[in-house]
Amino acid sequence: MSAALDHLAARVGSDPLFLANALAEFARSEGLDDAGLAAALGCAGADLTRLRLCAPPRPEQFRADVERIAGHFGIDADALAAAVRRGQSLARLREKARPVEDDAGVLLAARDAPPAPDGGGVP
Amino acid sequence: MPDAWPDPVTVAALYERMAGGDRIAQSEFLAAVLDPLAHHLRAWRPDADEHLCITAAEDALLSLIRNPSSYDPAKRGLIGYLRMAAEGDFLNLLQKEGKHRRNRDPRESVELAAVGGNEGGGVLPDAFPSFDDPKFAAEIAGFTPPERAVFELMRGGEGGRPSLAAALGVGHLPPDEETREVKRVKDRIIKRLQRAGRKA
Repeated sequence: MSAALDHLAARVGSDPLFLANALAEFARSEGLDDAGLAAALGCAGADLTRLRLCAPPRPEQFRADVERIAGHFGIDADALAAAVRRGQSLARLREKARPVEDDAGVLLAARDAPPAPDGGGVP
Repeated sequence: MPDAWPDPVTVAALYERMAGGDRIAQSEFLAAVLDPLAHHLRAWRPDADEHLCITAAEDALLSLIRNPSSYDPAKRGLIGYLRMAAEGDFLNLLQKEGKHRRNRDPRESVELAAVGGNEGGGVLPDAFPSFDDPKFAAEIAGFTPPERAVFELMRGGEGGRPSLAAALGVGHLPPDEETREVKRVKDRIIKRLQRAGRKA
């Protein structure tokens, strides 16, 4: 495997256009290193880089996409589906929890509802 | 051999599959073209940092994946497009690095050179007043886009002929002609700045 490809796979770990994103979140939640992640998915360690660079399964055809990817890499589709679902959920939570910057460059915390008109929090 | 390009038909077919939604094709496409693209940049700029070549190649490929409409197959082949995009990303990274270096070392900050005649291989000479001076700012604002690109590279200390030729879009010319054209633009930039510096 080329060093450049390994570098790219690491770089896209937070990019939702890559399967690397869900796999990174899953591995983090389980405390897995690369060898642990490969073992959890039942794939060869050498295949991890190419697996990470795949596009993630589309929600509307999740199962079919997972089976296609799993079949290509010779890994268990159920294990991959579970890892990807968990990883994508965690990635969404992380995205929601991230403070956002408004146009003026002020950091805003995410919240569920606008503040009360009198500025008070609890009624 | 990972540094060799696959044939254009294979690359186009992989891209078609990727654009068509095949989840594995993205990985196969990247595995097929990343190393050749980085290798192309190393050959184009043999003096360049290895990490910069890889990052620029990655940037070009990620831009294509994020914005597939940036590539129009009717205009040019995919390999040619990727090479051109990676060269542009490479120059952008060089420029960013130059700015970063200047910010870290105030001695390198935007000081232009004396009128000594030898412009040190493309980097602007070093005794001009700051470019923040309005008389320089007005002159710089009048540069054409290629002149501006060359000026920024010279200002960032990246005045080697290959990068200046690429910024001017004359990298395809025979070496003698390319050297002449680069020198002509460099000289014109320096003269204009010298003239601006002499204005009261």
